[in-house]
Amino acid sequence: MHKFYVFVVRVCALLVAIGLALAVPGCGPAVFISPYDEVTDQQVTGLQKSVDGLLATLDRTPVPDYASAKLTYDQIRSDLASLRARNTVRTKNQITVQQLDALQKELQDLEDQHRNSKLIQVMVPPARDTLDATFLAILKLEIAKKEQAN
Amino acid sequence: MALSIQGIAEAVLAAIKPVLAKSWNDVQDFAKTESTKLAQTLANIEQLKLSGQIDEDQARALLDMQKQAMQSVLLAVEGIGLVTAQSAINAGLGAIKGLVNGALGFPLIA
Repeated sequence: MHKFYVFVVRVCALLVAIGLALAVPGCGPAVFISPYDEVTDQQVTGLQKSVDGLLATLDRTPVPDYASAKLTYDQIRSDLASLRARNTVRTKNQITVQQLDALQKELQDLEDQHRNSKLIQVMVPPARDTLDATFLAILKLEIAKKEQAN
Repeated sequence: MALSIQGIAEAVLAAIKPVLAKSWNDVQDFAKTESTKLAQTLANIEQLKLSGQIDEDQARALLDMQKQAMQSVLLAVEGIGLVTAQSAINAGLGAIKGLVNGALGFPLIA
């Protein structure tokens, strides 16, 4: 009987050590990050299409004036705010929120240049590449969560 | 049936290794590809500035966008790391769940 209790204590010590090391509460499944969210996946993809459409209209000489694109900027900003709000309330989701903040800053940089009549056609391709990288990074993480769940 | 700590540890390790290996290959490719693309865009911006096609303010705006994008890529790598750690520990616990719960006679591992 003594040996049995020693064995139980050792097994629990091993499992608790693993759990504590990786912040696992008790001996249940470990959760370090929010799970996959299909709505976020779809909304990010939709937002990327909107931004791509905007950039397509700007990729010309001369770049259309800001007034003609203001409504599109406003819609994109509104969609992004909604997406951020959704992801802010999800627990263990700080990384995605930080990524959305980075995306918001990039779009702000683009819009500021356009509003101040500083946006010219040669700036559009690098801006597009940069925004694409950000969208890809957001989706990459979301897909990784989906694959893990499967 | 008596269980050995060595046996449990080996079972956990055997479950964790393929999870870590797959994820490392995946994240390594992603980080490398995206870093290369961003470096190319950075070189493009530099060329536009040096050739006088954009001024300092325009270059600064594009570079700030670059910085945000790189941050987003690194955040994705960090996030994938957390997903991987989560998968690995749950795979490890899953590998020994039957053994341990059976030996103990109660569901220690949920």
